[in-house]
Amino acid sequence: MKIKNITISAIVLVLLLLSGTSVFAGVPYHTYTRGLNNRAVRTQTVFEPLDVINLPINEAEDIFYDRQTGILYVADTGNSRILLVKNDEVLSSLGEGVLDRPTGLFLDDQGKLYVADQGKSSVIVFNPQGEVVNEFGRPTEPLFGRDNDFVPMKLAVDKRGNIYVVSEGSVDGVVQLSHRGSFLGYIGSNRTELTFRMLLRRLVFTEEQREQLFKKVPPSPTNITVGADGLVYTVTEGLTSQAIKRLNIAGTNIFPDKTISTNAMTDIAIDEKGNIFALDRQGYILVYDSFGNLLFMFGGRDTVYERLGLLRNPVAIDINDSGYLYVLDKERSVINVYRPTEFFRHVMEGVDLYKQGLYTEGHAVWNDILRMNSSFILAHRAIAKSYFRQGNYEQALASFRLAEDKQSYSDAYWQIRNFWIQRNMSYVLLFILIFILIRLILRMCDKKFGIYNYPKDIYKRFSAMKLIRELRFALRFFKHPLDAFYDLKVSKSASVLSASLLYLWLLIIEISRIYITGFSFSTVNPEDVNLMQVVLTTFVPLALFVGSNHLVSTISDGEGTFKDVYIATIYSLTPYLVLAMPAFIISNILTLNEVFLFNFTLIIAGGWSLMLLCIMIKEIHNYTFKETMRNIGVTIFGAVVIVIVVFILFILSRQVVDFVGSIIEEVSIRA
Amino acid sequence: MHKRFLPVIAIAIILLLGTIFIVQYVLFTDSDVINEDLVEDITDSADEAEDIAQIRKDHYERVAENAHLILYMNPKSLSLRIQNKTTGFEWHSAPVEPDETMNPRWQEFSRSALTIEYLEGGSRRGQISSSAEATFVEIDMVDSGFIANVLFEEPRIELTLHVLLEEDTLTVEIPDNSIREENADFSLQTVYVYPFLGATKDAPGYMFIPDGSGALIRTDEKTLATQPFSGRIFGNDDGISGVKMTGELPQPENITIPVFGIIREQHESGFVAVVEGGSKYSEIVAYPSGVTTPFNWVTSRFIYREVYSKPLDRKGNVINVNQENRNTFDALIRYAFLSDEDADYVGMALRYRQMLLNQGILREANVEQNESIPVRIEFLAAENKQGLLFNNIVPMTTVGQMRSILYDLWNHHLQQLIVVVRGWSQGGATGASPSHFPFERSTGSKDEWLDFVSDFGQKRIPVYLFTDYLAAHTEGRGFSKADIAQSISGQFISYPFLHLLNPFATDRIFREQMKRFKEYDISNIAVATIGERLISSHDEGKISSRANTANIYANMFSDFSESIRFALYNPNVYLWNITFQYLDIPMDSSGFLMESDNVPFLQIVLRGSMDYFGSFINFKGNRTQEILRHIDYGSYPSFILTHDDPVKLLDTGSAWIYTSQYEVLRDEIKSVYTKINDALKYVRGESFISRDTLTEGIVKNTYTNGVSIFINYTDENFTYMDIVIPAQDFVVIGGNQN
Repeated sequence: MKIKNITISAIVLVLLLLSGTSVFAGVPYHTYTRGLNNRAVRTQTVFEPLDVINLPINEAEDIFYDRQTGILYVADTGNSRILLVKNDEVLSSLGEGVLDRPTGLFLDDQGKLYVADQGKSSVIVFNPQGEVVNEFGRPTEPLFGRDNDFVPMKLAVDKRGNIYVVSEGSVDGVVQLSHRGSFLGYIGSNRTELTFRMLLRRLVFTEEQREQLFKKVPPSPTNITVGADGLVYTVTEGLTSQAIKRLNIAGTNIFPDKTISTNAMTDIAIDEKGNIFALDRQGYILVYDSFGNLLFMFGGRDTVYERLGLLRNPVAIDINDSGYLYVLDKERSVINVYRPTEFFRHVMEGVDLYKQGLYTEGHAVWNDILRMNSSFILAHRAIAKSYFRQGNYEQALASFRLAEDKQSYSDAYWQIRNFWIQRNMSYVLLFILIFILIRLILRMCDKKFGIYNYPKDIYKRFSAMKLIRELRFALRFFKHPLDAFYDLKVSKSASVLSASLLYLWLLIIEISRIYITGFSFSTVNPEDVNLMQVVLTTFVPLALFVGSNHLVSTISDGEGTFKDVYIATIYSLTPYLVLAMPAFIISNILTLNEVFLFNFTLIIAGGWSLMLLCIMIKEIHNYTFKETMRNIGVTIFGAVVIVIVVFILFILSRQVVDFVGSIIEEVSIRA
Repeated sequence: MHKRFLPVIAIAIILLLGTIFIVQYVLFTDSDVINEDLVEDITDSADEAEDIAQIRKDHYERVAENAHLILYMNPKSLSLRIQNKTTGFEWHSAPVEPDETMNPRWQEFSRSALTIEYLEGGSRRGQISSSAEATFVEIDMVDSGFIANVLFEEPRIELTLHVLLEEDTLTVEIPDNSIREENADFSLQTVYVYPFLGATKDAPGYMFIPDGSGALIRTDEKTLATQPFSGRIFGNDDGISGVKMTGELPQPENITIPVFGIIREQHESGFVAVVEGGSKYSEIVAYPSGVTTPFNWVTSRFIYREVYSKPLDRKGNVINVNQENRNTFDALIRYAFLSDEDADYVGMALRYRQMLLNQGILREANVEQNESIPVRIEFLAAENKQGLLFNNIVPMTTVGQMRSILYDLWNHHLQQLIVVVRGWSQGGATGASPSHFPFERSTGSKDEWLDFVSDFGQKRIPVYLFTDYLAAHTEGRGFSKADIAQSISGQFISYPFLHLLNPFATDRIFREQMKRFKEYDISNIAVATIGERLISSHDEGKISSRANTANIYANMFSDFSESIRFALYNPNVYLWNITFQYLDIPMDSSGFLMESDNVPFLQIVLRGSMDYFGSFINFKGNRTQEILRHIDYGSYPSFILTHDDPVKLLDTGSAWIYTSQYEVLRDEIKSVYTKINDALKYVRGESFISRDTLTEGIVKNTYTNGVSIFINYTDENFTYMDIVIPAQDFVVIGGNQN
């Protein structure tokens, strides 16, 4: 299963074996919620398998629950009819003799039943008495497209009676028809996704070969529904991003982009509060709130055993007015019924209050939920918002951090900082005034009594030390880079030792970036960091650069020795070395409003360093401008070559090690 | 000049090859094709069967009779009829009317006393039923039954079947020494004995299977299942099948008791069958009507040999090999017949309970009446997590914190506490086994720990230290590679992060450690895994069959059971005689499609002999329902606690604990305990007498002291003869309560 951004850790596998944890009794699947760091965290069951309704259906493709009558409509595709089911029993059927292959159905507020008939390529409308009142075939409007087919697979109807049809293979999106069947337009088309493999193929393949591949067209939506908000929702199988779309009147997708989804979504249902239940073909059910936050994921595929609650080939999902879920299993010809647990109802209470913006009212509920699972991200966010609303910014800050909401964290911090400034500004000004005063006095004393002489002396002797001189030499690169490079080569103003110390400083900066950067600006979670990884990402590129550059320069008559390149490289990075640490430190008292400052500093530091690096190459090796450019290019190429060679050697040597290792293992077991 | 370019040329060539390789891989590999293995059975087709209509009652001879039962046998087919003298009901081992919808092979199977599966030449499967012509039968009558010598001609396999009456039970036995395989080319794989005993088509009643706490398969309902139930008693043997990766879905429940049964007409007739011999090598198989046959039947299938995969190379190619040596055991099933009020699953459970009491596996418990119920509190002391350079300790609850938590509970009237501590070992919970010692310093010094254990021991609050001697973490200490169990194909029985130790190593380490515990005056130990898994191990020179492993385990526990009390997690029945606390009892079945009801069979067997605790309530989504289920099944509640927030455990091996902070759960624990206690304190130590489902969602349990507890699972109040049982609630009647 591929879920964008969620990894279910292998530790779950271990749990199956460590006994004393029969937390699995009863429900044949686990339930997950989104925890910290986009991790899938186990949580209490939200839906329990209640029942299986066995129906005389064949290859059924869709279901629809009518809230007004409590009747569940089933599109019995293989038997060319619609079944009406209530209380686990078949009430009646309709459409016999009229329908061919009904694959989608929807009821509007007046009780009219709309059926998408794939076999007849038309939409057929029944009144509440079961009589056909309308049949819409392929739209004749020229805007529809001359070559486009009209094969309705799924449909939905909004409050104004507009019909939205998912037509098989339609790459232009959803077909919108008026209540009279006239074509209004296409909306909600998907985008193709370009992968690296496809890019490569496009570059390298010949015309004939490209023809052989499937045309990469955007997939047509898989299913569609209309929510309580009156908006159209589509779900598309095969997309890794924007698999769920919420279309506004203009037809643009207004569902949050960052929504976590799977790439096998096959149907979607919306409850009265706007919460979204998405069905994945592999048997998973995903629950979202109306903002697109993934709340829960549960379910699984029934492969080995036949257990209640697992699914074989789920194709449709709907929800009834008590919150029970119905899932149509096409292969088994049954409808699985799931009942929400107390835990779920409690969470939904909190979600509802959150949606209405009643943060303080929801506070107690969310506290309860944190009691059930302290990693529940949404709970932290809701509580943080409640604190924020109450003006309790410190608590809000801590909670936003747990909720991993950088923007809100920044906002809360702004409030705290603002408050601090307002309270303490006068003291700060006073302090500065006194400080200036003292300095003035001290300077006057120095003029008279020379009190600074002794510290100045020590400072002079300290600065005179070779190593300190060499380190201070780095500062020359700010004002006089060309001269400084010359000095480097000729007068040995820096040594291997000072350069190595600076490399170490670089490593310290990189490690600090992870731990010191203010939360709003940090990109990496300190928990996930591996020291080895940081060392490698810092030094390997530098090592490659230095090594490759030296090799290349040697071949092309560069004057710099290896030592020169080693030293000069790190000295070229002086702007970054000097500016980075202060930037990280200051980020702690910045908010996202000042993100410009932070980014700008780092960009300047980085860009300047890069420029110095290029200048370094020119000066150290004494090249012309053209030669310098060429050198840079070849250096990069050389670095790539080195990586490939090392990679190949690594693989080969691993084979050898494996081989020897298995021999040793065999011997030790037999012995 | 050209010398300089030589290395450059070499690099360029390597680069070129590398690029070609990568590009070709990216462009031309297709997505993987899923391989599906199809295993084909080539079965013998039986010769044309005799006209079955000829087998009528007058062909049955009366073979034995006692005060309870009369045994009839048809010498042509060895089919049985057993008449229950109390009720007059007659049990058949073969269908009365032949069923033409079944193919000949199944028809033979249904009316045969014995059906064997064999392998020819190590690969070709065959199946023969004893009523097919290819068998040869010699029958000796004895006092209480008969002994039949059966020869299956084609594979030249011979065995002897003993069928005897013993009071109100019928025993069916195949002694191991009677099995002869005269043709080396044919090997005996499995044996079915009277599989269709009690089979019905569409009749009221149900079949019982020991899935989890227990499950019923109604025989008058059309089933949704397309597969039969088949469960290995005491779980899968990794020593034969090797390590099977299960994916991320939870596994079905274990089968911990070798019992099955059939009820024909509730409260009229039924039987409970116990696999008394060969339980470690058999599988309970249940077919509801509509799955392969139109009959509902349940039986136990004895496994003499299994085919296993032997890996050929590292790439994953395997070869299928048949077990060379036959499993040695005397196969024995005892059918105990039930009449009238005893003929339901409660009667089955009580009958089985009686057998276990007689064998000394269970004892009647002595508990004071009206004593408060116990509650299990587990603590996680510490865990470890990968740090920058080393593993970091994550302390979750120190000894001091445990003390204050327990005092707090005590002061709120939770005084019957059973405490289990996990992660007390150095390094925390993951990686602790099997060496366990020393104590983890950050949670308390050794003396603090020992004082803690002894102080609470004096208050009669036992503190069980959590241990594991079967599953060893890959980074655990105290074992060597030679201790890891090997499967029959020569592979280590190792899962990701875990090794299973062979029983000799388990035995050795266990004994060493128990001696140490005794030195420290620690007399309560919780042992994980070992109760639920039974493996055979095949290290060269140290082979242990499953039965042998069970013996080793049973012996090592009983050698110390005088001085140490053991708490085991969902243990198999062969360890029940040393189990002092039964933890994590299943409160459900696995939910297979064919199962129509969950029943507390296991609970009914145990109640009155042992306290049993359900799994942690922390992780249940329906609290109210869980409380009612505990009251219904007579189970006591359990919680797992830490002092610190379990969010710290996210990157550790205990990430499954997502809620445990005492401060947060404190009120909940008290309310859950009080609720369950208010019901079960009246029946502490009592056994079940009956359990009736008055209507869907309303249950009435009656206990040996006359107390009845009504449980209402529904959302509406229910009135039963003047008694109002409120929605989602319970009522206790009788005894000295009203």
